[in-house]
Amino acid sequence: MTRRRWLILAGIGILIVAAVSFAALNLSGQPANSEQNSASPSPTGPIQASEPTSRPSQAELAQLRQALGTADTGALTPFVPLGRTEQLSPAFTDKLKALGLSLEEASLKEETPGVWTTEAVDRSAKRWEIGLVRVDGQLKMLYAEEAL
Amino acid sequence: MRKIVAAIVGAVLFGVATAVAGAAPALADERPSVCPTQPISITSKLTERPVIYVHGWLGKADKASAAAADGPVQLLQKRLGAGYRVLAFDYSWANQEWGATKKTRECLTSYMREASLAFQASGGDGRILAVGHSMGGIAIRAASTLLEGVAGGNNMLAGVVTLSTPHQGSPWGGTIYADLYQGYKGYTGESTPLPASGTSAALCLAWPRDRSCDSVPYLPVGTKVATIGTQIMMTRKLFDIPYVEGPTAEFPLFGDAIVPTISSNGYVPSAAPAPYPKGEFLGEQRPVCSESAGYLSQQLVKGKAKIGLVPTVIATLAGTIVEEFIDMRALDTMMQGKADISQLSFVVLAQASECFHTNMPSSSRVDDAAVAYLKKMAPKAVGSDLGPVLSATKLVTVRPWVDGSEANPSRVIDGKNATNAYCNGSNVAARADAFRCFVDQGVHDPCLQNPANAKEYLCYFGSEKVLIQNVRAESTSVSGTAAPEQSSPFLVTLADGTVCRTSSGAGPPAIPGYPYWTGSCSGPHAGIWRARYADRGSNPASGLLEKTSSGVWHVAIEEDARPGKVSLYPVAVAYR
Repeated sequence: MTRRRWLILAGIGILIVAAVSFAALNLSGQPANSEQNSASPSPTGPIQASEPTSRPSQAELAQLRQALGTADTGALTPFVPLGRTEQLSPAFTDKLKALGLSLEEASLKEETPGVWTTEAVDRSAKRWEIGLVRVDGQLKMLYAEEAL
Repeated sequence: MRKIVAAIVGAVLFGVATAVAGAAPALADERPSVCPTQPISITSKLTERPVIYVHGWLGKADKASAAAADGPVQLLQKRLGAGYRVLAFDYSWANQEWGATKKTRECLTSYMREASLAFQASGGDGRILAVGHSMGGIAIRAASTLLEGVAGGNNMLAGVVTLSTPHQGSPWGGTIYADLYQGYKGYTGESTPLPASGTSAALCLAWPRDRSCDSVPYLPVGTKVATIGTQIMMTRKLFDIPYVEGPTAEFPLFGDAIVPTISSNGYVPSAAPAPYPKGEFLGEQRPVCSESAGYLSQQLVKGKAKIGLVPTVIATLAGTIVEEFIDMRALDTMMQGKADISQLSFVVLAQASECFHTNMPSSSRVDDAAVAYLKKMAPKAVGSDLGPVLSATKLVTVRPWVDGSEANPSRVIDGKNATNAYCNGSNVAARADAFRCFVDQGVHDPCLQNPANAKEYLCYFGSEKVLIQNVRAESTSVSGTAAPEQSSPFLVTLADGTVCRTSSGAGPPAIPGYPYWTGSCSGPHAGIWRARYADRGSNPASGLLEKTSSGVWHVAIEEDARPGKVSLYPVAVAYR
């Protein structure tokens, strides 16, 4: 289940809870109060969203290193957030190859739960930071930007 | 996940509670509103042209935010510089109510009027400017209809600049997404860009607008208007290189992510079928911010976006952004102009953009554009090319029978043998002792009655003074009751010999900026003596404009030789 689907279902569930709570408040004649509301318990339900937080493996990082280094379309595509009908731009792979990126796996760290970052260095010694998230088990590049 | 759920639940419940407490029905209460004290109070005299900033939904203009160096009030003041005084209207007590509701518009009208009068009190022309962010623009438009009902109000508002005002609503309006969005944000205490669902602000944000929503009229004739609406373009890059081609390589959000530019720059058709044009539309600007989704994601993840999200939410959001790119639903629905939950990740991401809805008033690009419009809207400063420069306008209170000015009249008319001879209240002078006298076929106005002889009058026509004798006052009622020194001028002379007299009657059609007329002028600048306000009789300076620091008043003349164009000329002497 995608995160969005989970959010939609959660939202629907929440609205039901909200409606019931609101009706209960009205029935009991108690004025609605934001402080009370903020202390309301979370709804419980059947939704158990997957927590795609597992650390990238050495094998995955090796694949990423190879993909960035060679700029091979087939190797890169799994790491890029492309739509179902989209393809990697040939201009992108050409320019990426010219960059001459080298991944530094040792820099891997968990920036925030489920978001991993690692760095790469290009031919001109410019450092790039790559943000990685896992979607349906596959590592994807959330961003690849100049390191801050 | 639990935190997100708790936040969303809280937000939804908060929304429900707010809706119950704050939803504003259509106008039913006719009682005048009691307006809260404004954080920026207006002093009795404002020596600089007032510019009133009106915040948007969920915003505020308390003392702290008005004084904040990076806040809209201070930024506008800094850019406008001397000659302008930026004030702020706060309606945080109703910022989840539709901006056109009764109390907001009444209180804003009152604040505007107060500013205008304070400016007039120091010799200014009383014309103010306003900047409305988001729903603040709606509030200004709504208040302007009330201004039309107060003396001089029709032309009080010289110009309005709206920043991201939903003139034509937003796809988010009337949806529950606002609550889900606020759920994303969690309780950070920061201002959020969408009002909670169920509130009138959210309901009336929808387009077409719900029938229960108070209408938003066009601005009055004589008010210039300009709109600014930003556009965020989201680019998809890795290593600063676009990785896809075609329309999805760079896609537009709904304008500033909340209000599409077709709405923020949609003033002109927004009140149709009301007749247009009203106001004078100066133009629109659409600053574009091209933002890299990757860069914004990095800012978000590294905690540099300062949008107040807890780490767990950031993590989920980061994953969702990637999913949305894969799924394409967000892009598809945005292309269709429909709001969808799938877009919320991008809305959150866009918060780090200068062009984002709530960031607009602090954007240097937006402020520069707004200030350029405001300076263009401010009534033209008086220049030395408009006529001879005088030291000061001489204001003369005519007092025949007291100062001896009745002596040596140009003509004497005796009504003793006339078939028709009587006087009644003057139509052109507001003084209690001013009359309009009819002697046979002649009409003389104004004529000042001799306090010692009610059948004797001295009539003023510039250089000509006519003494009328033996004419009875048919009516003791007069058109004005002002004391001589408090009455409006009925005659002015310019240094070049031009003489302007007040007139009565419907007058010529209004022209932009000058919906009223005062009279007519003869001499070198013969034409129509134009007026900005309908305040004759109630204002000792009626018909006089743009007093300089050296005390020179001006009159606005639409010269016969230049129809439709008004020039300001310095007044040598004004008689009242």
